[in-house]
Amino acid sequence: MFRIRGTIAVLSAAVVLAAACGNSPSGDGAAPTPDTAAPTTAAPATTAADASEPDAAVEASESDASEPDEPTEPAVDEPASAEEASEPEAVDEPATAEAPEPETDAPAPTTTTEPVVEEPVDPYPHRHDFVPLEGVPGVTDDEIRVAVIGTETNNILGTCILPCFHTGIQAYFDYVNDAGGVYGRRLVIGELLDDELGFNQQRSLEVIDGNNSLAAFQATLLPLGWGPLNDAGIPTFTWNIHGAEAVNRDNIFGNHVIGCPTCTIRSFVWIVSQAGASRVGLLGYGVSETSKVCTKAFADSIDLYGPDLGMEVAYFNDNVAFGLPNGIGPEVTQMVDAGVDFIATCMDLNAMLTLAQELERQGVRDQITLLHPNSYDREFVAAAGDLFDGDYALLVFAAFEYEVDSPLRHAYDQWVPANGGPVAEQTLVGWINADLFVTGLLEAGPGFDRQSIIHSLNQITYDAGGLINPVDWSRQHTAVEPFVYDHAYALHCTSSVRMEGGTFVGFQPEPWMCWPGDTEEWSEPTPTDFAG
Amino acid sequence: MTALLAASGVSVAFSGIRALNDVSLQVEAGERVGLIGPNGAGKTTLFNCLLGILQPDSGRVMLNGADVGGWPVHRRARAGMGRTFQRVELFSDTTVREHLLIPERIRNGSGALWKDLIGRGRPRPEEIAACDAVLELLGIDGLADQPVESLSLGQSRLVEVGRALMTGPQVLLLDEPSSGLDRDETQALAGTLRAVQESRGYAVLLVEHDVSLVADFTERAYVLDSGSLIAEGPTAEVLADPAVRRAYLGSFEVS
Amino acid sequence: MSGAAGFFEDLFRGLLQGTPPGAVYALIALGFVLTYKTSGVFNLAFGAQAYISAAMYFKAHTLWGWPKWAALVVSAFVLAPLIGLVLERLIFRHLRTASAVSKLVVALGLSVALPELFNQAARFTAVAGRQITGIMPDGSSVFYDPFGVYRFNRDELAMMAVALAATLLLAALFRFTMIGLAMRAVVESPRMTELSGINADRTSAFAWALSSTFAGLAGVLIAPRFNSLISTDFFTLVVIAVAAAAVGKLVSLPRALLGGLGLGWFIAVFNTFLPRWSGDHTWLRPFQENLTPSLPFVVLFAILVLWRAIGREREASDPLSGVDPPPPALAALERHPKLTLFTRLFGVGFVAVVGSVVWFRAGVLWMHLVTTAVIMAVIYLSVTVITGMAGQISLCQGTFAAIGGFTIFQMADRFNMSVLAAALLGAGVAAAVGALLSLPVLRLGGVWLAIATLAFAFFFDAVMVKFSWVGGGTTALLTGTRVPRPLVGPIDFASDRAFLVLAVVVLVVVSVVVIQLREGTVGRTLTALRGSEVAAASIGISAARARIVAFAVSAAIAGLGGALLSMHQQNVNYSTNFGPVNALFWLVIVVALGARTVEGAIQAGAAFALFEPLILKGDLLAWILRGDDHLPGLFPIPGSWRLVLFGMMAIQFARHPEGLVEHGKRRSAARINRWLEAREGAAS
Repeated sequence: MFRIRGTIAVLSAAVVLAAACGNSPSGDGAAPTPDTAAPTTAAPATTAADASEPDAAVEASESDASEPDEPTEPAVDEPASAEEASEPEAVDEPATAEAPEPETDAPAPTTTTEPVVEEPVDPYPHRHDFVPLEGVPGVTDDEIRVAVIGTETNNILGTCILPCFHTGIQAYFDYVNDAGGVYGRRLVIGELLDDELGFNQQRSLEVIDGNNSLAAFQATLLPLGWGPLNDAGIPTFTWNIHGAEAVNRDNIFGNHVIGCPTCTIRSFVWIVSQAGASRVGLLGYGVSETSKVCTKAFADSIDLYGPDLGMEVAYFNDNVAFGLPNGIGPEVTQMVDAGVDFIATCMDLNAMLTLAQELERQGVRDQITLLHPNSYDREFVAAAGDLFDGDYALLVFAAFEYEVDSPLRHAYDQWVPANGGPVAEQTLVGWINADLFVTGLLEAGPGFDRQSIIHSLNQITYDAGGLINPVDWSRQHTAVEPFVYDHAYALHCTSSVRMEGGTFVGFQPEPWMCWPGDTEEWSEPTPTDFAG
Repeated sequence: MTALLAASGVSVAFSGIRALNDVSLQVEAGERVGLIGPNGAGKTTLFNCLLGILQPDSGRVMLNGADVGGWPVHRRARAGMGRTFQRVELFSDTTVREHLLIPERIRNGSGALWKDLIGRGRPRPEEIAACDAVLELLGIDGLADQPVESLSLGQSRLVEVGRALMTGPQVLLLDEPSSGLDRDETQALAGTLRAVQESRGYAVLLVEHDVSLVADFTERAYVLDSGSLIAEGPTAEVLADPAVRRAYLGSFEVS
Repeated sequence: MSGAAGFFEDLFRGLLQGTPPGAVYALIALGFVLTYKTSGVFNLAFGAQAYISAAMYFKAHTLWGWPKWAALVVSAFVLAPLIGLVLERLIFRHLRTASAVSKLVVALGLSVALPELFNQAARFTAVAGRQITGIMPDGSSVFYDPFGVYRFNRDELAMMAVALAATLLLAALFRFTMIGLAMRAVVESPRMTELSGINADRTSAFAWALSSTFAGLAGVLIAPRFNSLISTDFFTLVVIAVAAAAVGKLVSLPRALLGGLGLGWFIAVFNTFLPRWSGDHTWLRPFQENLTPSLPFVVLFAILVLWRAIGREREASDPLSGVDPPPPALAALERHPKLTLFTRLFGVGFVAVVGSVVWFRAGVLWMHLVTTAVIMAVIYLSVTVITGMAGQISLCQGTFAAIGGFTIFQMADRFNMSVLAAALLGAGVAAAVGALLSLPVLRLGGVWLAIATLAFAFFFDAVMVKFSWVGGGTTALLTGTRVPRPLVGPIDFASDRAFLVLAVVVLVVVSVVVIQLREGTVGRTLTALRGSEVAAASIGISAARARIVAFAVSAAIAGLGGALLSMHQQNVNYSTNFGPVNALFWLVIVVALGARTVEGAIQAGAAFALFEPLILKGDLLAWILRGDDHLPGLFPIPGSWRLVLFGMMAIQFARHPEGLVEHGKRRSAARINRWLEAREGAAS
C-alpha cells in the first residue's frame, strides 16, 4: 500500500522523453494508403476514413453546415447534429480548405486521386439511431459511461495530468452531448479514479470488477493497469508516454504511437539545420534506458545525415545523473571546449532549466541553441522569461501556435476553456482520446459493444482531424525495430515550435513537416496540413 | 609436558604504550589458576589475547600444544575455551533452558541449514536432558523456564557458566565473576563454582580483583602489575608476597 | 587542451564546479552530524525537515508574495525549530535510551510522514518548473568570477558561506560553551548528566530546536538547486550526504564539511577527466558509463566498507544504564490452555470464513488484492529472517525481490524457461547476491549496515537495472518487462483462482521453512548473535558464517516472493514494486507489526494490500452498513493519510519494539488469562 516514488521519478520523467524521441520513426514500407494523408475530419466523431469509405474524406465540412447533412441523415434527427451556434468560425473554413488540400499533401500523391466530393456527407448517418442494448457494460438507454483513471496525487512531475486529461474528455463529451450525444445516449464519465501514482493496477481492476464502464481512459505515470484492461477486452484510450506498455495490445489506443524508439529522426536533423547549427552536443540520462536510446537515436541521425548537411556530433554523453544533483558544469565546459553550437537532450523540462542556467553562467547561452523534448508547457516557459530564447520544442501533436483548420480544433478551442481547462497538451490528449473513442462507437454502429468498437478501430487510420500524425490502427499496435517499416507511421512528421520571450512561436509554414515514410533518404520536408 | 593453555612472551602495545610486556602463563588440565592485579594492570588485555579477541604484537598462545595465535574467537571456543563475562552477556528473548540449548545445538549442529529444513534441527531429548543436568549441577534448575531478563545478577552469572559448560570446555576463563555481587553472593558463587569444577574436572583461569575469591578458589595465581608479571606460584604464597602487597597497597588486607 | 597548464586549469575548474554541490552535501552532512551529536539519532528524517522549510519558503515567497526575509524567518527560524521541539517532546524524548536501530526506524517513518503531513496541512504540491528563488536578490542571475575560471552565482556564494560559517560557529559552540558540552553529555549518558545537575529534557529540547533550525536553513539554501520541490529528492540527498558525515565518523563537524566538499569535488573532477581519458583508453569506457550516475552511492558504499574505523566501536551505551531496573520480563506467556485452544479455533475459523468468501465471492479486484497480500507476506518473511531472527537491518530487500522478478523475466524472454523453474532459479540468484553482499558489510552493524544496504539498493537501481541482462534493455523498451503466468501440465495459473492457490502454497511452504529455521540450529545461532555477539563467539559461533547464511536465506525468500509478485502482475514493474525506497516501507511495516513471528509478516502483507481498500476506501464499513450509500461522507479517506498513518505506526514501534501485533496479543492474552483464572478460582 505504501508504494513510493523515488525511482519512479527517474522512470516516468525519462519515459516522458520517449514521447518526443520516438515520435517520428521512419515511416512505412508500403505506399501510404490513400486516406492516411487525406484530410478527414468529422465533427464529433472525426476519423480518417478507412479505404472503404472514400466520401468520409469530405465529411469534415458538414458538421457546421447543419442543413446539408440533415437530409442525408435518416430518422433520428436532432436539432443540431453539429454545433453551429457554438463555433461559427468553423462554418466556412473546412469547405474552403478542402480545395487546396491536394497540393499540401505532396508526400502522399495518391490522395490527389481521391475524388473531392463537394457535398459534405456525414459518414455516420446513423449517429443518432437508437437501438436498445442488453448486457453491454456501462450502457443504458440514456447513457454511455466510461472510466477515467490517472495520476493526480503524488505526481512527482508537478504537472497537471489527471485533472487536465479529465477536463479534455469532459469537454469533448459536452461537445458531443450538446449535439445530441451518440445513438440517442449521453456520454458520461461514470468513474474518475486517482491512481495516486502506485495504484493504477488496482484502480483498473476496480473498473474491470465493477463492469460498469464501456471504455477506460488512462493518463498515468505508471501504467500498471494497462495489461489487465487490455486482457479484459476493454477499449482503453491512453496518454501514450509508455510505448512499451501499449505495444502488442490491440485494445489499447494511444494519442499517438511510439513506433520505433531506435530509428533515426530526420525532423531532429532538420531542426538543427533550421537553427543554422553544425556542431551538436547530446545529453541523456544514464539511469534511463529510454533516455539513452533516445540520445543514441539523435546521434545516429546526425551520423547518417550530418555529413551531407555539414553537421557532426561534437559531444555525446548519455550518462548524466538524473535530476542533476551535482549540476552540469563539467559537461557544459566540455561542450564549450568542443565548440558545440546546438544541444539536444533527452531530459525533462526541469533539467533543461538547469542546463540553460549553466550555459548562462558560462556565458555561452547566446551561442548555443537547445532542443527541448518535453518543455511544451506555456507556464514553464513564461516563468523562464527570455532564458530559452531561440530554442526549439519537438511535439507529437499539431502545436497550438499553428492554425489547424479542423472542426475538432475549433471545437477544442471553444469547449475546453468553457470547461475551465487550459489550452495545453494534457487537455488535448484527453480530447483526442475521447474523439477516438467516439469514432470507435460510430464505426461500430448502433449495435455496438466493446468488442465491435475495438474491432472497428483496428481497421481505420486516424488523424484527429489533423491534430496528430495519422495512425493506422490496423498495423501500428506492434513495436518496430529499426528499418522494419510494416508497423510504422506512413509519414514521418513533426510539429515544432520556437521559443521567444517566454512564449512559443510557430515557424513552420504548415502545422506539420513531413518526410516519406518508405525511405530513410534525406529530403527537404514537405509542409503538410492533414486537416487540409 | 605441554600445558593445556599456555601464553609465552606475550606483549601488546596500544599506540606506543606497553599494555603487556613479555608475559607468560600456563594452565594445566584440571587446574584452578588465578590472575590478579590492580586496575589497569593488563589483566583484561591478557585475557583478550588468550581468547583471540586481541592479537598480541609478539608472543604465542598455545592450546593443547597447538598454536592458536591466528585463530578467531569462535574457533578457539570450539577447541575447548569457554568463558564468562564481567558485564553479563546473555542472549535476550530466551528462557534459561533455551539459552543453554543454544551451545548444545551449535556443538551438535553441523549441516545446520538443511537439517533445519527437514526438522532435524530441533533439540533432541538427550540434549534437553544434558541442559537440565547442567542446570541442576548449578542449582538453578528451578529457573529453567524463566526468561533470562528476569534473573538476578548472581543467577545470570550462573547461567553464563552453564552456557560455557555446555560447550564442553577444557578450560574455563572466568572474567571477574564477583563484580557487582555482594560478599554473600560471591561466596555462594565460589562454592558453586568449586563444586561444579570438581565434578566436571575442567581447568579454570580466574581473572579477578577480589582477592578473597581468588584466595578461596584457586590453587595457583599470577599477579600482573603495569603489564608485567610480578609474581606467580601457589596462591597463598603469592598473596603473601610483599611486592604483591605493595602493588595492591590499601586495596585489600591479607588475612 | 593539452599540456600541464591545461590540465591544471581543468582540474582547478573542476574543483570550483564541484564546490557548490559539495557545499550542498556539506550542509546536509553538517546537519546530520549536528543531530547525531546532540540527540544520538541517525536522523534520516533530516531531509524531510529540510523539505518542509523549503516548501514553506516557496509557498510564502513565491506563492504568497512575501518578501524573502520574512519567508526565510518563518520557514527556517520559526517553523523548523517548532517542528524540532514537537518531535523532541512527543517522540524522541521517550527514545533517549532506545536502541539506535529503533531510533532509525522511527526516523524512517518520519521521513515519509512529515512531508505528507505538511503537504496535507498546507495544501502543497510540487509545481513543474517553478524553481525556488534563493535568498539572495537576483541570486541565480548575478555571477561573480573570483578566479577567472568559473563563475558562481549569489545563491551559491551564500550557500558556501553559510556552510563554512556554520562549521566554525557550531564547532565553537561545542568546544567553548556550556550548552554545547551539555548536549554532548546528554547523548552520552542522560542519567549521568542529570546527576551533574543539568536538565536533560531542556538540553535535549534545545538540541532539537538547534538541529532542526539548521535543517530548515539547509533546506531553504539548497532548494534553488532543485527545479521542482519533491520530498524524495531531499531524502536521496541525505543518503548521499551520509557518506560525507561518515568521513567525520558522525561526530566531527569540520570533517563533515570536508567530506561534503570532497564528495562534490570528486564527482566534478571525475566527470571532467574520465570521459576524456576513456576516449583515449577504451577499457575505461564501461567504468565511465556505469559509474557516473551512481557515483555518490558507490562512494558511500566504499567509505562504509573500506573505512576500517566505521562500525568498529560498539554502540555507545550509557555507563549508568545498569542503574535502570531490568526491562520487564517479556511475558513468560504461560498461556492458559483453554485460551490457546480458543485462539487456534478462532484462527482456523477466521481463515476458513475469509478463504471461502474470497474463493466464492471475490471478483477480479479482491482476488488480486488477496493474492497481493499473500505474496507480500512471502516477501515480508524475508524481513522476518534477516531482521526478526538475525537482528540485522537490511534496506535492500526490494533489490533481492527485484532479482527474482528480473530472473523470471529474462529466463522466460530469452530461453522460454518455465516460470516456476525460473522463480526457483531467481531465488537462488538472489541468495548468491545476498551472500556476496554480506561479505563486505559483515563487520558493520546496526545503522551502518542499514545504510550500506541502502547504498547497494540505490546502486542496483542506478546501474544494474539498465543492463540489458538485468532490466531487459531494448526488449523492455519495446515491450516492457512482461512475465507470463506459469502453466503446469493441465493447470493454467493464468486463472486468478489457481494463482491464488499457488501463492498460498508458497506462503505455507516458506512459513514452514522460517519456523523450522527459527526452531532449529540456525535460528538459535541467530538468536545468540542478536543477543550478544561476543558471547556467541565464546560458544563457538562464527558470526560471519551465520550472517552469510541469514542474508542468503532472506534474499532467497525475497527473490522467490519477487518472482511471484511479477508473475502475479504479469510484469516486473520494477520501479513500482522494488525501488530502493519501497524496501524502507517494507522494513518499517514489518518491524512495526512484528518482525519476530510469521503472523507478523502475514499481517503486514495483509495491511500492505488490504488496508487501503478495506479501511481508507471504507469497503469494510460499507459492507457492515450493507451498502455504499450509508457511508459517512468522510470516505474515501485521501490516500495521503495512509503515509501519515504509516509514520504514526513507526513511532508506535519505538514504544513497542516487539511489534504492535505481538504487543496487543500479549496484553489481551494477559487480560483473558486473568479473567479465566478468576473464573476458575470462583468455580472451585
